[in-house]
Amino acid sequence: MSATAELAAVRLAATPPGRRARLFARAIRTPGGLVGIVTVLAWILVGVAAPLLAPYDPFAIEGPALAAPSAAYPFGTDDLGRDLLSGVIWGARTSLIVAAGVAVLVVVIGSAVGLLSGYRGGWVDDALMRSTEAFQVLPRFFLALVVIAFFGPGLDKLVLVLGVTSWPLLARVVRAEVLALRSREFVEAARVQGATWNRILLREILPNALPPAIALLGLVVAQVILIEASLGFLGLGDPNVTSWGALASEAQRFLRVAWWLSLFPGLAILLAVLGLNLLGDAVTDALSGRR
Amino acid sequence: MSRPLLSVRGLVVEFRPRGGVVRAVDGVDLEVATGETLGVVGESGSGKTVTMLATLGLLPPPPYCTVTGEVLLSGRNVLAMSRRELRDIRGREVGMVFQDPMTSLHPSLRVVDQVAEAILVHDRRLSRAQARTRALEQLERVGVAHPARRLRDYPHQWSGGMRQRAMLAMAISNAPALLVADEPTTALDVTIQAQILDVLRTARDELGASTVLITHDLGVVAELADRVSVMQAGRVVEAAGVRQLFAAPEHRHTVTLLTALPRLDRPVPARPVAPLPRPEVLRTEDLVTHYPSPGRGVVHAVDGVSLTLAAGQTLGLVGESGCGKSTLARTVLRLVEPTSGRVLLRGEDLTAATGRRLRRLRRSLSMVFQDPYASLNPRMTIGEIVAQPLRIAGCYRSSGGQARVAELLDLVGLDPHTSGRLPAEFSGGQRQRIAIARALALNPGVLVLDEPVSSLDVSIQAQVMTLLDRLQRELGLAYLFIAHDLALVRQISDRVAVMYLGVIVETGTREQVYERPVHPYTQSLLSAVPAPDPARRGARKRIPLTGEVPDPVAPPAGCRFRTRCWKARDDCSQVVPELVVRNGTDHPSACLYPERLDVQTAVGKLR
Amino acid sequence: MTRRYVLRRLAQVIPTTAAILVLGFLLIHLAPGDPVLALAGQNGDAEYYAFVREKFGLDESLPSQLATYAGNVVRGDLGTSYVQGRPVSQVIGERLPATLLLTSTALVVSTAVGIGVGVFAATRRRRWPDVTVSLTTLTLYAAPVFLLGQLAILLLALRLGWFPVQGMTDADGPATGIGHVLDVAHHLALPALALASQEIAAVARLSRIGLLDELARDHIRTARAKGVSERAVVLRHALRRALLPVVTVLGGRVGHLVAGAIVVEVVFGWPGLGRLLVTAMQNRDAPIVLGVFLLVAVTVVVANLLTDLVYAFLDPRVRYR
Ligand SMILES: Nc1ncnc2c1ncn2[C@@H]1O[C@H](COP(=O)(O)OP(=O)(O)OP(=O)(O)O)[C@@H](O)[C@H]1O
Ligand code: SF4
Ligand SMILES: [Mg+2]
Repeated sequence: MSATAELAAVRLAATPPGRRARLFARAIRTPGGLVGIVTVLAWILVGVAAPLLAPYDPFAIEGPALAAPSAAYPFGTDDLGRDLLSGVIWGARTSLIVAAGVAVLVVVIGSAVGLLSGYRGGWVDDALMRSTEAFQVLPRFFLALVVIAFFGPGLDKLVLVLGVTSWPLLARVVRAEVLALRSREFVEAARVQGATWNRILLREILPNALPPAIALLGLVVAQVILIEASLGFLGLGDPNVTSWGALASEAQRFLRVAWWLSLFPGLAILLAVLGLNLLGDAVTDALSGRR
Repeated sequence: MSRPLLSVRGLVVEFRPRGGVVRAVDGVDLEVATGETLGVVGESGSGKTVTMLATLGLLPPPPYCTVTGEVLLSGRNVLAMSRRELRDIRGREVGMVFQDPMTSLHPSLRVVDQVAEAILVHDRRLSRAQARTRALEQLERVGVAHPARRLRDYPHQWSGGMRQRAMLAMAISNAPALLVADEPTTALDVTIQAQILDVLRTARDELGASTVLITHDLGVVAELADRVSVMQAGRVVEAAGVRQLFAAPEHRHTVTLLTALPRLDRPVPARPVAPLPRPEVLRTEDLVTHYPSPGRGVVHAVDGVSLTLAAGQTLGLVGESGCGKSTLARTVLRLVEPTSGRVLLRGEDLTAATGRRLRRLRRSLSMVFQDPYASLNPRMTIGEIVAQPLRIAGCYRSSGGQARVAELLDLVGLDPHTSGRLPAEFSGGQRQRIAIARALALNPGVLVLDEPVSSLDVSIQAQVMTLLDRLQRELGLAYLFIAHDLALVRQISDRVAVMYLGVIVETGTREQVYERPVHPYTQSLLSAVPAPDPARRGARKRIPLTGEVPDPVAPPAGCRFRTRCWKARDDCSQVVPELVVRNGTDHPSACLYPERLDVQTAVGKLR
Repeated sequence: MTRRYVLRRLAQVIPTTAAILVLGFLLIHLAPGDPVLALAGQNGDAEYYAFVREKFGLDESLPSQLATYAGNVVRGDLGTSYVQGRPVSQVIGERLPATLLLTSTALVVSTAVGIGVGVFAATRRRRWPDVTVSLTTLTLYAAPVFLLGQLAILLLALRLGWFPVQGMTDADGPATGIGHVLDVAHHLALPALALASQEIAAVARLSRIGLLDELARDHIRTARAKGVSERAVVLRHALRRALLPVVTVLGGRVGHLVAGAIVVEVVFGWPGLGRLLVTAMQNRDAPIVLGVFLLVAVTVVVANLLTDLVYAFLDPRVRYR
């Protein structure tokens, strides 16, 4: 899953920081970037406003069982007669919570490790990078399974285990940035003027290291959504909330009679992931000055 | 005159990046007769390279890039050729050499195989082994020593000069009728440049090939070209025979190029005389800086350098790339810590200072870097950039705040109203002015300038040099001026030090070093600089240096220059020559057998 | 390839593997309740738990427990599933071949097809084939694997009837010989395709960008200036290094493919580790889950090792460092 995120990491690390003025504006002007930002904003909006947008309670039995999409139930209903549209809307909220929680953890751990590693260098760098590599080879999906098996399901645990294992790429990009930037001439100029390291990190390095980290974050979060969906599909999600993966797993039993149960939750995941990928790609492309 | 070998008529090249059209070449006419060498000169972005790529069909395909006009090679229109036909002429009728030997070879294929491929694609009957044998012959021909022992080498194991030789070997391996060399020596040191130009000249003469030589260096043109076309903004603004062009340039741009060019064969203005006594402001004492080189030992980047710089004067530091100039500058500023030795700033030990004292000392010492694109933080406005030293020193308010920033911008010739803009909106020359304004913010007495103009075009270069000169006179600044360009250093220096492999080999006043050099290295450096004067082509004596600079991890014992010195004797490897004044000389040199040698048919007298 | 590089890279495997072992051990002890539950699974009887306690030295100090645990795992003893009444390694071993068949097919198919598609698109840059490929791969790349699986079943199996819906063999199919192989292949096609499609997209995107980056380099211009044909420029000069990004992520892809395989197996009723895991999760049969995790983790470590060696072969600068 990390394939293109890894490549993005490599390309970002190879981009000279000079090329980055007014980057998001440029990224959003491309068709991909525009579609990406619109989709992602829509996803966030639906997730945040789910209680207002959902026509029904996603757990309430509202209509006939396995009703095909209609005006009353635009996405149809499931075997218990629950409204699928409401389920998908509330599912957006679940995926948003997981994504946001993981994003926070990833940013905090990733940039702390990256900054420290790139800035301190020496054995600190060696040790941190070794552990980053170790974390990177951990199969996140299976680790999540183990955690659920040992500790039981729950959004909090999911956020924790995915957050604690998803930061290595970000740390590597931040580290590469710091390394590249700390020997840049404008940083040396600040050093010649007697600037303290704190000032250099905050004023000179961080503003230039942030955009690539954010671009990468979009791609990492996209992967996290897919993992969350897979776990939900296997019936291992939090039983107290609706999730896209769990909805799709219901479809499995009724594939012959109710295609909509499979299609709509799946499409919702696809759109959210697609949006994040498009956005991350657009920013990466703008950074590396392509097209 | 017979039909020209290459004739370009009304060539127009347009690129269409997202949302715009860039006309890189705008109606160019060129003509190259059989056996003739055409020099194409112009500043960066003037369209030299694109013109040549277009004539070989090497530009990206439409719609991104469109080429119109006519390119006739031996009477056939290249622009109308099929891919097959194009492939057939490339490498067989036309050989090309590109600028950057570091990136122009495939990094994962063996060098010899890459040369062999150039032969193989045009002669399918050859076996691989035969092609390889021919490749070895070609490499030998361009002066690669013992190519047969380097069969398994990859490009990264070769130095820049050797890679450029390999490129040349490829270009000439099928005896092309036309040789196109695009800035073939720009990335190389002057002694290596002299070697490569020699090889190029020999190959051209042996093949009797026509040559197109693209360069920004008028000296190179004067040495090799028969005719010259001067390009500016996608057009040829002047075309003439080489002698006529240098003797009586007609177009304004040509005149600018010729007058802006720092040159060794013309007198330079006298230096301002600083009032006596001239106190010493900066001194290094036996400064040593070694970098660890994992698995190999240490890089002896700076290995015992003692220099002094007097108030209001310029000390020029010259030497080839990798000789340790930048490391010396960075050590003086304590961007790297010296391995041993001291730096004294107005008598105070900078190397031992810490905390407040270090910060106070640093205020009287400032630096201007080489790359104006890397030395300004792209996310700060230029006002913030110039104000930064004041803020760091905590005296932004007391020094006048906004007003001080405006004053500084004005001082370097920039409009103070532009202080809200980002660096990206400024050109290279303007950026270097911003960097200078920043360096002057705290009224330092000493400025360290590491190649401050070498990434700029000559006309801009001249403007920045004039600015530096003016500032020195007005503010009484002392400069440590580092550059690889000997003529440039001569312009601005009172005293000069020549550096080789981590040590100073000769030092003295400008007159002493340039007019009466005594160290063999200085002599050959001076003789290797191409003179921009076609009238005296061949009249000068050259002292060609063989080989390349040794690995600074294991510098030669005894005299460091002995591996390339034509005068080396047995004791040169036993004794380390001190930097002292010896019999028959009037200034210090690190040679056991210094002697005056007249290389200076090229160097004009100082006024 | 220099021997030193290989040895150094081999040596790096040891600490990583050790770290994975320690992580497994830590999780066992962090889990709520008695660690014996994590090692033997729920629903055991007291006598059996006492036996496991003894075997893993659970009454001793933590470091010595770690040593015992690591020793057991290294010997291939991943504990015992009480629910199944059998050693975990035996249970996993039974299911492993089906999963291996599925993932390796998908790995091979996705690498080959992905590279092909990437090269196809890159050499037609910005023209309609390139745009089509880009849009398709973007979409496929974002699609969850169960959606693809379910759609494949809906369309290709249920609607068109070209492929079987579930399982690895027909109940009445031949049990041996070429007929058996064909039967399995027929059943394999859809799950392998569903599993591979996201990977095809990833590899295609990587190789397209890699090739475009590479084709823009100076040494490609040199090759063209020599008169090398465009085909040879792409295949001999550009592709070699353009595939470096594809190689770089090979190790990571293995982990991802196995994870995807778990889901695909559930969708298609493929009798591999997937069903086993789901059942184990339902029964809270922790040793099996942990065993699979360790197996996959070590596989990924080895895959990464192989990746680096291939990389060093393709880029000589790495080995001489
Ligand atoms: N940070 C570093 N670590 C290791 N070696 C270094 C480092 N910086 C420079 N070197 C090496 O030290 C030697 C001197 O380098 P330095 O940059 O001082 O030369 P220079 O004369 O300024 O060259 P140029 O003209 O190319 O700028 C070179 O061999 C260089 O490769
Ligand atoms: S000491 Fe010997 S080797 Fe060194 S420069 Fe003088 S003559 Fe040449
Ligand atoms: Mg330098």
